[in-house]
Amino acid sequence: MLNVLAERSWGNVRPSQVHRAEATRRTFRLQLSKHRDVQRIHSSGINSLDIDPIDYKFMLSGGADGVIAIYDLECIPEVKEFTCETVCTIGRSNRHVHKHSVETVQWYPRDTGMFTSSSMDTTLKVWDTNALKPAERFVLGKGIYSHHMSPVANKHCLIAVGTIDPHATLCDLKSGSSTHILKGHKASVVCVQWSSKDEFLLATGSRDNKILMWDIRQAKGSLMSLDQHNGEVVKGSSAVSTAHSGHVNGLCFTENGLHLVSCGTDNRVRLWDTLNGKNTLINYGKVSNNMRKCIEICTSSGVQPDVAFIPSGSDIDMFDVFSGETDSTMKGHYNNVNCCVFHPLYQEVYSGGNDSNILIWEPDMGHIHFEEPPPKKLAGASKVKKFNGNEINATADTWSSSDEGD
Amino acid sequence: MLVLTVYALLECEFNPETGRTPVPSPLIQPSGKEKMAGEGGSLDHEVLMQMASLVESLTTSGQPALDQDTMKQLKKICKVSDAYVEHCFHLIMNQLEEEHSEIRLSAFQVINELFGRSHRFRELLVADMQDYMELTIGTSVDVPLPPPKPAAILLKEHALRAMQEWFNKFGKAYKKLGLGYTYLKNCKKVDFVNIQARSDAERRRAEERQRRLEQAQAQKLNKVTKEMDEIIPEIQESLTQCENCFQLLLPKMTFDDLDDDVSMATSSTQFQSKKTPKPLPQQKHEERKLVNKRPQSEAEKDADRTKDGLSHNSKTSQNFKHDSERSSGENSSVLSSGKSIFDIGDEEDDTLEGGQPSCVSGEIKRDHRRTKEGEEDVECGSNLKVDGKKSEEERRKGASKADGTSESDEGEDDSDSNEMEDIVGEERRSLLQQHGLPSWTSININIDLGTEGVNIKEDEDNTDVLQILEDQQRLLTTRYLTKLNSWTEILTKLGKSDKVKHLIDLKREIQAKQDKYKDLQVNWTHPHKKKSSGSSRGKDSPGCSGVNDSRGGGGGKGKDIHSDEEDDDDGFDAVPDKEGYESDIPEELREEYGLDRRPKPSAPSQETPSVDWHPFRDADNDILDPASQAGSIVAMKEKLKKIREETRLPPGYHVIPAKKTKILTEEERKRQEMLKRAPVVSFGTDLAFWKNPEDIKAPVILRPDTDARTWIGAVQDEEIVLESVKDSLKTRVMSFTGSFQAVKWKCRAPLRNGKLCERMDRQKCPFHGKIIARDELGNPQEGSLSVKKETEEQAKTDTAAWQDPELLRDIEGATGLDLGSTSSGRTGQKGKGGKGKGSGKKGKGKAKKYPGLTDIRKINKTSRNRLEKIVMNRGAVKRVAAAMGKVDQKKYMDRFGNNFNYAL
Repeated sequence: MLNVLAERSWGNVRPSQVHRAEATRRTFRLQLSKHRDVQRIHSSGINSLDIDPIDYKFMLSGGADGVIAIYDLECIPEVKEFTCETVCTIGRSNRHVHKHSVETVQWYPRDTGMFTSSSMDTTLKVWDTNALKPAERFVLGKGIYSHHMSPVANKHCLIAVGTIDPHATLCDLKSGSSTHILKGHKASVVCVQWSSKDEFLLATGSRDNKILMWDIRQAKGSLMSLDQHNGEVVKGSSAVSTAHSGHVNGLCFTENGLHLVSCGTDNRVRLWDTLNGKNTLINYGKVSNNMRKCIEICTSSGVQPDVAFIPSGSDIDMFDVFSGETDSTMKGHYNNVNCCVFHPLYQEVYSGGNDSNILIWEPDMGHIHFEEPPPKKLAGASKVKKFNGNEINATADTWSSSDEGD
Repeated sequence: MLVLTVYALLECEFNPETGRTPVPSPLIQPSGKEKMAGEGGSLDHEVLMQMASLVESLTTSGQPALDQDTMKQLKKICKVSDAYVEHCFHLIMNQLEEEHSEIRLSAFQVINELFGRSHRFRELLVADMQDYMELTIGTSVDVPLPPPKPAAILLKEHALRAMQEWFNKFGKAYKKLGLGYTYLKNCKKVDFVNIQARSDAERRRAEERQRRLEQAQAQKLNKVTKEMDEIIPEIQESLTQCENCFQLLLPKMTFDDLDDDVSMATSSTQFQSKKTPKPLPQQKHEERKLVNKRPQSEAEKDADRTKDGLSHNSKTSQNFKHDSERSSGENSSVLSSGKSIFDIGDEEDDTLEGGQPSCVSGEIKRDHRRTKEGEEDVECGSNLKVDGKKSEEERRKGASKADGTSESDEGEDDSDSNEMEDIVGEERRSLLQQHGLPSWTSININIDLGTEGVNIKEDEDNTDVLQILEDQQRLLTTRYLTKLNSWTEILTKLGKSDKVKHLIDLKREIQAKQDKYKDLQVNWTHPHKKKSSGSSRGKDSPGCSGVNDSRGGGGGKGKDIHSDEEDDDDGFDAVPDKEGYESDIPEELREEYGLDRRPKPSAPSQETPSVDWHPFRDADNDILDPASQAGSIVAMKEKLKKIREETRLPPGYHVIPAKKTKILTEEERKRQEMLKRAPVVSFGTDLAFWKNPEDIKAPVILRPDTDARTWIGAVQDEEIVLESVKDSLKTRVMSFTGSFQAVKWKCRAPLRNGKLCERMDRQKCPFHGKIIARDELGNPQEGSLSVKKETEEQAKTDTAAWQDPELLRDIEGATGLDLGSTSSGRTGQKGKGGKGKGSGKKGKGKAKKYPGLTDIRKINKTSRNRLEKIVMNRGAVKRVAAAMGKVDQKKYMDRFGNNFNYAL
C-alpha cells in the first residue's frame, strides 16, 4: 500500500492502478465481519440480494417467506458494533406482498426509486420504492425462478424472466406486457443474465443442462449454445452441446463482459468466453451444489485478477476466475447459501442463506480499535481481538489457578 | 506434526529468551525441547503422545463424567502453549467424529472444559462450529447422532446447554458463535431460555398421562363395583339355592364330614354306597345288645372299622335303603335330615329297643356273625348288607363281649374320626377301666373313610331338585366364577385388597359348592328328560355313570361313549368288508394266497345293498366271467390241478403237501428249512435283482426313429436314460406295523410356578430329562441321589455339548453372532484360521480395549437384524427373484409355448 502510494506520488502509476491495487488487496482479505451485521427481518431463508447500482447504499433482500426488505448499508467506520438497519420492508402484513417465496429481487439500474421482484407465486412485480406499492405486475402463469434487467441497457427496458416453462420471457417495462418469448430450452429456465457490457446479449441457463446465448434483436433463435466439450465428440455423452452435466443454476458475467461464469448441479463451475462461446476449460474443482433453484453468484469489480464468489453448500468459495484457484473459503453460514453479492465500493460481500442470516464479509485490514479501553476486567467481556498474531488482551485464556496447582 | 515441528524449529531460531543458537534438530535434544515447550510454542513428541493417550483414555471411558485427574493432566499440558491446544483440538475433533455417542459425549465434555479456558481453542472451535454442531447437537438431518441413544440424548442436551453458556460468555467476541446460537434459536427452534422448561413440559405430559390412567382406573373400579353390587346378591341367592338343594338331597350336609355320612338318605333318595364306610353295624348291634341304654355316638361307628374293615368293605356292599316315615314328606324329614347317619343308627337302635319301627323297610344281612342280634336288626327293616367279617380284634372283643362297650366308649368322642384317636387317648384308659378292660391292651383301630362318596340316583322325586341344582351349578361355573375371576383380576390391579378378599371368600364358597356337587355323583336316569329340557346339551350323559368329574368336561366324553353304545341310528353305517380283498392273510396261507383260499362269497354284500357297485371289484369276483380275476384264477387252478395229476411234482417244491416231505433227502430238508425262513417278497425289482441290487439299471426310453422329424426336430439321443427314476426304483416304502401305545405318565417335575410338569413324554422330557418316579411334590423318589447325580451329569454334558467350541464356531459362522466361542475355546484352541473369526477377534479386541463403552454392534444384534441379513441378502433376493421368474416363465410356456403366435 505504501509502495503504491509512493509510486503514485512519484507519478509512476495512474490513479486507477492505485485503486485497483487497494481493492485487490482488500478483496483477498475478506473475513466474516466481526462488528457489523444486518438486522434480522426474514424468518426463513434469504433467496436474493441486490445492492443498488447508483450509490451502493441500499441493499434489497428477498426471502423465502415472501418478505422483501431494504437495508441501509452505510455505516460510520470504526464503530464497534453496527447493525445495518432496514429502511423499509414489505412484510407479511403488506397488502401487496408476494404470496410465495421471493426468488429474485433487483434494483432498477438507473434509479433506486424502483425495483423489481419475482416470486414463485408466478408474478413479477415492479415496485415503487417510495410508495412501497407495485407499479406494475406481470403475471407469468408459472413460478418464476429468476429475472434480470440489463444493467447497461439504454435502448430497451426489458426484463428477462426464467420460469418453470421451458422458455425465457421478456417483459417490457415500457409497454407493461411480456413482449417476447425465447424458445430454445427443453426444460425450465432456472437463471437468466444480461451481459454487463452488451445490452442485447442475454444468457439463460436451464434444467436441460444447456446455456443459451441470445441476441434479443435476432428473431430466429439463440445465438449459440455453450458446449462444455467445445464441439469435440465425447464418448458416452449423448446430449448435444450441454454446458454442464447437471442443471445450470447460476450465471454471472465478469465485469468486463468478456467471460461468463456458470455453475451447475454437477458440482462444477465453468468459465465461458462470451464472444465465441468456448469453454475456457479452467478447473475450479468441486463446488458442492445441490440447489434446485437459482443461486446468485457474483464476480468482483475493480479487482485485478477477477474473483468469483460461488456458494458451495454452507460455505462460499472465492475463486480466482482465470486460474481457478480457490483463494479462500468463507465459512459462516449454518445452512445452504443461496446468494452473494459483491459491494464494488467497499469490497465487501453480502451473503444470504437458508439459515436466514445475511452475513457481511469485510476486508480484515488489521485495524486496531483504539477507542477500546485497555484490558477491561469485565467478567467475560472479551471484546479484545487478536490482530496480526499479536495478543493484545489476555482475556482469552483463563487457565484456572487450580490447574496451575497441580 | 511435521508442520508443527517446523514451527518449533522456527520458534527456536527466533527465541530470544533462550539465548541459544538455533538448534538444528531439536528432536535430538529432549531436554532442550522440553524447556522450549514450556517457554515457546514448540512441541515435544513425547508430550504429544502423552496427550493423545490422555485424550483417548478420557473419551473412551464410557463414563458420564470425566476423570478429573486425567483432565487436569491434559489441561496442564494445554496450558503450556497454544500449539498444544491446537494439537489437542485436532485430537478431540477426531474423537468427536467417532460413531459412538459415548465417545462424543466425553469428547464434548473435554471441549467444554477447554473452551472455557483457551482463546485459541475457542477460535479453532468457532471456526469449525458447523461441524461441531453437527456432531454434538445433530443439526443436520442427514447426520443423526450415533447409536447409544441415552448417551446421544444426554450429549445433545449438554451441548445445547453449553452452547447457551458459551454464547452468554463469549458470544460477543466470537461472531460465528453468536451466529450459531441464533441459528439454533431461530432455525432449529431450540428454546434456550428454558431447556429446563422443556423438561417441565415433559413432566406435565407425564402427569397428564398419569392422571388419565388414574381416571381410567377409577372408571373401571366404578364399573366393577356397580357390577358387583348387582351380581353378588345373585350369587348369594344362587348359593343359597344350591345349599337348599343340598339340604333337600342330603340332609345334615352342614357337617364337614360329608364323606362320612354315606348312608344318609332323604325321602326320595337312594344311596348306593358301594364301599360303605360305616358298615360294621354289626358291632353297633353288638354294642347295642350289650349296652342297651348307652347312647351311641357317631364316632363309635367309625371306630367300628378295624384293620380288616377295608377288606370287609371291599367285599361288602351294603344297601341302606331307608324308606322311612320321612318319605311322607313331613317337616320332620328336615329335622331328621339334620342328623347324621349315626343318628340313623341311633334310630335303628331305638327301633331295636323301643320296638318302634323307624325304618319300615330294610334289611341287614350279616355273614359270619357270631351274635344273633343282627337278625333282630333285619327285622327292624333297614336294608343292611354286611359282609361281616370281623377283624381279629373284633373277634377277640366279640368273644369277650367287652369290646363293644369299649368301643362305644370311645365312640363318645367327636364324630370326626380323624381326630378321634387323639382325643380318645385321654379317655381311653379310664373307659377301658370302666369297662373292665385291662389298660395295657392296646387297641388298634383303623378307620377307612369312604372316599368314594355318595351316588345320587335321579328319580322322579328328586329330579326337579337335581335339575335346579344342576342349573345353579352351571350358572355358578360359567357365569359367576368367570365374573369373579375378572373382578379379582381388576381389583388386584387396582389394589383393593378388602374387596378382593371378599371376592375370594365368595369364590371359595362357590368352589365348595361345586365340590359338594361333584361329590354327589348324581346318577341321571332320565336322559331323555334332560335332553328334552334342552338346557344341557352335551351335558353329562347318563351312560357314563359314577364318574362325575366336572360336568362340562365330562360332557364330551360322555357323549362319545353314549353314541357308541346307544346311538346306532345316527350316522354310522356298518361297513362290510370289501369283497375280493382281505386285509390280513394268515401267514401259512400266503404262499397259496389267491389260489386256494378265496374270500368268502359275497353274501354279506347282498345283505348290505348300500355298498356301491364297483365295476372292477364286481368283475373280479364274477367267476363266470373268464376275463375277471376270479375267473382266471379258477381256470388256473383247474389247470394246475391237471398238471399235478399228470406229472409228479419235483421233490422239494414248496407247494408239496407236508406228508410227502418225508421222502425228502437231507439236503432237500435243509433247503426246505431255508425256504421256511426265507422272506416272502412280492415280485418286483427286489426279486429281479435279489443277488446284486447294484445292478438295478435306470429305465430307458427308446425313441423310435420316425419320419416326423419336421415336427420333432433332430433327435439327439435315441435313448433317454432316466437316472432320476432309478432312485425311485430303489426306494422301499414300508409302513409301521406296531400299534401305538399311548403314554400314560407325566413328567411331573416341579415347575417354578408350583405346578408339576404336565408333559407326557415316553422316556425323556425335553425340559427335565429322563422321566423318573416322583412323589406328589414332584421330588424324585427312590434312588434320588443317583438320579440327581445323573441329571447333574447330564446337565454338565449338556452344557459341554452346547459349548462345544467347534459347534459354537459353526453357529457363529452361520449367524454372525459372538457366542463366546473364542473365550470358551481357551481350553482347546484349534483352528485359529478363518476369516470371519479373525474379524470377530478384532472386534472383541476393540471391545476389550474400551471396556467402558457400550458395544454399539450389540445393539444391532437383534434377531430381526440377523434374519434380515439372511433374507434380504442380495444373493438370496436374486435367487428368489430368479425362482419366481422361472415359475412365471414356466407358466407362460405351459400356456403359450406351443403356440407360435405367442412365441417369444
